[in-house]
Amino acid sequence: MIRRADTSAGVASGSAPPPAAGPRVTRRRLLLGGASAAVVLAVGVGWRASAAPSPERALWACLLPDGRLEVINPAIEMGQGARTALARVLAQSADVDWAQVVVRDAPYDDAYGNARFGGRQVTADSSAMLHYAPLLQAAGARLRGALLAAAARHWRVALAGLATAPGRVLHPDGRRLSYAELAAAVDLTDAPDPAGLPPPLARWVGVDTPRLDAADKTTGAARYGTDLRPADVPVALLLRGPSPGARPTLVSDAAARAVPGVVAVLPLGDAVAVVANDTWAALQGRRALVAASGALKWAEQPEAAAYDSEATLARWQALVEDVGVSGHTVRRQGDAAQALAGAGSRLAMSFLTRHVAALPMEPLNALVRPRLAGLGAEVSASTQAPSLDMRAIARAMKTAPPLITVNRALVGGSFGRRVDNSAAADAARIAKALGGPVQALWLPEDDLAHGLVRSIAVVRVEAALDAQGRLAAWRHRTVADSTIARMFPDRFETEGRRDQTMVDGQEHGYRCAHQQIEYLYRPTGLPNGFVRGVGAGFNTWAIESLIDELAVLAGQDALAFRLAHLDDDRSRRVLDVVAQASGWGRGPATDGSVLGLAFMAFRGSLVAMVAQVRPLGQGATLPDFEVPRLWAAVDCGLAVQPDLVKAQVEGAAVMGTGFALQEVIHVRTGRRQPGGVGDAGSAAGWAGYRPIYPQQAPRVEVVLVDGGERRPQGVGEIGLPLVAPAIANALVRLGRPRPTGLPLG
Amino acid sequence: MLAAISLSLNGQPHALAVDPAMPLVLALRDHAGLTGTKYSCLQGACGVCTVWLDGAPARSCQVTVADAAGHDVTTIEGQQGADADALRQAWVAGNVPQCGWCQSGQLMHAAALLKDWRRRPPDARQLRDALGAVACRCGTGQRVVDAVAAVLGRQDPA
Repeated sequence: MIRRADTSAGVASGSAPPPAAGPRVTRRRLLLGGASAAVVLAVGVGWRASAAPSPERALWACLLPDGRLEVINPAIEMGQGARTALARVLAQSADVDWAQVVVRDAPYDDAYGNARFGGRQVTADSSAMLHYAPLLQAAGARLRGALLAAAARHWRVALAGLATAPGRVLHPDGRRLSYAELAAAVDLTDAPDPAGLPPPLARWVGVDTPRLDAADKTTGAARYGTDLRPADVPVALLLRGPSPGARPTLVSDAAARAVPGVVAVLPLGDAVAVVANDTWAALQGRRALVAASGALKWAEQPEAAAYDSEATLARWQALVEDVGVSGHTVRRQGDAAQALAGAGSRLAMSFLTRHVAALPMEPLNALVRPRLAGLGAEVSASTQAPSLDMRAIARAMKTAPPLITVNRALVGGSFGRRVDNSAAADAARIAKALGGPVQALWLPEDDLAHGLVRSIAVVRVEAALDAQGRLAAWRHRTVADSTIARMFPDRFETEGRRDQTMVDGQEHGYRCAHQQIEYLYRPTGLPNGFVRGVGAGFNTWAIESLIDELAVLAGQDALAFRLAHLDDDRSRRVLDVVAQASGWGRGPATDGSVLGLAFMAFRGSLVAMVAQVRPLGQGATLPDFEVPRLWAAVDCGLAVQPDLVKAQVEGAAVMGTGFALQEVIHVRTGRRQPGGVGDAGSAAGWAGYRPIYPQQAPRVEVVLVDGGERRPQGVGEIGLPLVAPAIANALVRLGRPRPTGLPLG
Repeated sequence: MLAAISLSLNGQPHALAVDPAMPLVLALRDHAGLTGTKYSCLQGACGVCTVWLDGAPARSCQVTVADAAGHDVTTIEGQQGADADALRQAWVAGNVPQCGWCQSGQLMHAAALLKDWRRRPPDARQLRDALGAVACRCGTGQRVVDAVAAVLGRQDPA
């Protein structure tokens, strides 16, 4: 009855008994509330390439008896619109009516893992569309093929003459059968190879629709992880020491316990948890603990307490110039050292960036509910990585990972921060100590004071031009901390101390025969984490700053110089489009504003950006300029939902403006500025960090460019890295010295 | 046992038996079951927790339950009427929300401004500056401006 499918796609109809395991053929049944068991259809799509994950087990869609199609969204919805865009991919290839599509988030199951993350359920690196779209596309095509075959059997005609329109199969003589009518007759094990069928007309992909969750986000009905705590589950806030890893000695918890509603005060090794019946009591209890003199002593770790971010940057500036100290080689092509040494016309500059924070606006959260008899726990959390939350919780509870079930919640912003959800391990330790459920929160101020940050970095870029003003040699050395070294130390060592997230953005697309690109890992005194754009945030800023300097050295316009070094039509196209949109080369503006240009290839996409910078009058406070507008030309391959792509680029560009102009965390003697609860002399928490407000944000105009690439590429981060170099390049064109440190303000 | 504090919540009388010093946003979320109002900074800086107090916008992390006693509190769940409908439609049509965490605050803030702007239309700068006082980490600010401009029947907010 079941036979091996001739492609990597395997499917099954739901009226049969559950899984008969074949390597790529699945039978699966999904029972839904209210749906009859008889006609629920499951579409599984096999996946030949990967070893660890097993999406052939995964269910991607259910055709319901009434003809509606339930589509499973495998990615975390955190604002990027994955739920909408991924469902559009399957709806397109299945040729269903979009109005008949119901989207449900995938259950906690590594069958929905992403190969980029070793098959774990992680939504990050702008990779959800890149990874999942082919699977969803194949599942939809398989379903459509089976529907066509069912109709052909019914009408006793050849399949070749049939076509589909949304939600129905069309006979050449005008007869039609709806998907609802065909649902019971569909046999997915006998579906034709979708590759042999003419594809449906493009109706849903490349065509915008309002995002599915927009309405609930305007009424307060949308419920996020933080919102999921029932009234009978206590909430915990953590108090941490003045520097990372400081260990508490709780001398007296009397002050905290005196706050009505506080139910427990628990020392946890590197923190003290204040557990209370409601959020206000937890806040008050924590404040009381800080205020009570002598109630708490912190034993700091000497290295962490000595960390000074500016002094470290100064040391790294010397290190980065010492080419005798080598790091991980990202690219070696020709002989850059020799070419640089022999060049008559060369430039070398070092660029610094300081710590910044992703700072999502919803608190980090995890609600851990231990199961009876120590049989693991059930978890609800706003997370980018249910699989990593599971590991952290299992470790903290000293239990087996399979005993931890993580239910993902709607996420109030991530930007990389929730790949490593700090609240997960805290909640687990507290729940274990309490022997009952608890929700742990990291308020945004806690995240700033103690959470993960983007590393400081020093990037040294050197280049030589030949006699014709062409790029002849290039050397790029980045010194930075590593997130992989912190989270996966064994893997970091076996891969030669390489961290892809730190070398992201190091490789540029400009033609150059001799290149040497390196990454030197050096730890800082702060826990390093993923922040939107990751390494491109400092690497691209250095590259695109030097490229402008080289253009000046070559006596060429910044646009012409870039175009002269790019062979790829798609790259040249985005530069041309952004130049057109921004009025590049049109001459001086009447308001004294100037334009700055930058370009990169990142996440499979090509991006060119122009920043408009307007100087403010004498006596203006820093920064003494403003950035009224940004233009971005983006070739992201197939734009599944063009307006969602634009929204991602707009949003990342706003965050990039904050990083470029003003956002920074300084560290002296292990203490952050802005600091944490009770830290003396600290600029206060969230406001002290000065996150960018819409009032200060530039207007961002995004132009999508079709360069002929039919696969969707990454878009979540691509709006961020070019903002700083585009602004810096504009400042230089204003006659100011070349900026070499971020933030600029 | 704490004495109950009475207020009007989305048009209904409501009693909250909580610490009078509790910030209103935490009382709404933890004790009135209204999780539509979000918070972030708890410093009165970000505006995410904006509700209406007697019809005027207020940052509910800076308003205590005692402050709200006897007053009318309107949250996103209770925000109704033609303007609210128009704003919501514009939000959906313009794909304004991304993660959505700040959007209750954005809408409550915008709805209050819209009342004034119906009487006295703002210029482009006022639109941007006044609406842009509520932080959004996703960067939806310009779409908020565009959506409100659409409700006001304006063509070019920029």
